[in-house]
Amino acid sequence: MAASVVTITSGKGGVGKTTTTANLAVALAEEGFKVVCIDGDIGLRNLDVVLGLENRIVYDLVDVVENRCRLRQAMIRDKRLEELYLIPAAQTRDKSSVSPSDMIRICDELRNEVDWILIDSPAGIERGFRNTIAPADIILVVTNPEVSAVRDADRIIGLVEAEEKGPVKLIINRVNPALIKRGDMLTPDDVVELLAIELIGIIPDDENVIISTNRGQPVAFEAKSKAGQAFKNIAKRLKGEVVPFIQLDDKGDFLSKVAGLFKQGGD
Amino acid sequence: MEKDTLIQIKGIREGLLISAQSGSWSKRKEEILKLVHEKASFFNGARVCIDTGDTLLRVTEITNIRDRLSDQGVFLWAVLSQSEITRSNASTLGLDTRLPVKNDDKEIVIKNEVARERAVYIHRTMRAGSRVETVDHLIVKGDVNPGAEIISAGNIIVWGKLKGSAVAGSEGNNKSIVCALELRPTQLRIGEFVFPPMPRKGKIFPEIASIINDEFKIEIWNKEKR
Ligand SMILES: Nc1ncnc2c1ncn2[C@@H]1O[C@H](COP(=O)(O)OP(=O)(O)O)[C@@H](O)[C@H]1O
Ligand SMILES: [Mg+2]
Repeated sequence: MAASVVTITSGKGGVGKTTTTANLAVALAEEGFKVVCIDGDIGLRNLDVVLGLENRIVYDLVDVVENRCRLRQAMIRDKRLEELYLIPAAQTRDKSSVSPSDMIRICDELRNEVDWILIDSPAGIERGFRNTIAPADIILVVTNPEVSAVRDADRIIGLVEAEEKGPVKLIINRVNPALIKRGDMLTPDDVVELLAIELIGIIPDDENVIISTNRGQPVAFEAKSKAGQAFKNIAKRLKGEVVPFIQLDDKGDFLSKVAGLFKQGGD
Repeated sequence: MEKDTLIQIKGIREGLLISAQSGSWSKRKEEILKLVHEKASFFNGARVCIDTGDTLLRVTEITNIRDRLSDQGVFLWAVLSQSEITRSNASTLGLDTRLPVKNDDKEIVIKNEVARERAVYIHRTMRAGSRVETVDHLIVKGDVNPGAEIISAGNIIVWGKLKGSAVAGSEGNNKSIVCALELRPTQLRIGEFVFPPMPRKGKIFPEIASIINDEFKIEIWNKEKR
């Protein structure tokens, strides 16, 4: 099978793109796929830290683009999963050292060798954004359930649609049932209603995410973590499985809302 | 620049303004790219804005020149045009469509002009950051999301939810109207009148906003009344 290129993007920074990329990579690799993730956030690399592979970096994406090494040499193999690789971003370069056509070329080179290529994006809509969007087959837009993040997500979805890329799917990250119940947070329903694109995941706000990030051990490795489970469900949905949306709370309210949304989305 | 080339270049406060207003678009595009290539050291890292005259450019035509410029290290940040379709297409790509105005010519001139009996038709959801401005009437089939802006010198009809900001009668025509299946704009102006914020109501009906005897009026669309 030729690989699918999945780009993880957002309008606003800090909503969880890197966290999502790392966890989906782990979840897909645990399902037995061969996965490469590419850190497209040139100059601000951190996917290597989240995956705990920081100290193994020799070459990076810019070295590949500028022909200082072969693509293979820049692929760092994960220490826990045989079939998981990372191509790190350069730490000291600016975004203009990589162009959209470079990204397309690199992904094309990888397509016949792996099953999934996941690309983490920088925040914003300028060159770095176009680099990561250019090779994408599927685009995952990550947002938090906050008005400003949703507004920026809407803008990014508009840009992706204008570039005629897609399908575009939505991940709502850091959902907090307690806040929703108090009426202090947008519900997943509200967000989906406004953005009007297909929902592929709801991730709870979970302090384990932060703890695991600091350890370089994504939560998807932890069987008991709710956030980890939510990421695994996204991985399953990506490969075409139908998985009900996660139950974030045992109390009726929120559950029925999510269930309603599930019906409406039709997947 | 030489006299009979299709393009002219001028330095402006925001970078370079490339004016390419006549001739076929593909010719003009090739001219621009050729020039950028020949004067690579001059253009490298430049921020450019292209004035495309009244040419109607599709989104793909704009992305094409943007990407080819970007391959040469030139950043296209704005497209100026007399065509509202071109401007709207550029704005969906996140490009600017106006140069910032200097403070002293910012004053709004109210011309009390009535729109021509023509309409611009937009058939898509207008997402945050996109913008359409026209001297004709404006019809949007789709939603206008928060953060999007629609402006018409005439009337506005939204066959969808109007949640962004809207100006009807933008040249000062207070007789203009705005109607939408769900009228919940972030901001609404008709002619010289800026509507007070509209709270979210319970049940949703199609509504029409207008100014009658200098007063704000929002009516439910009701066929018995007509
Ligand atoms: N579901 C979550 N629950 C709790 N914290 C989260 C969650 N997702 C992300 N975070 C935290 O939010 C911060 C920003 O996440 P990150 O993935 O780096 O965002 P981005 O890549 O979009 O800038 C990190 O500290 C991360 O640990
Ligand atoms: Mg990041």
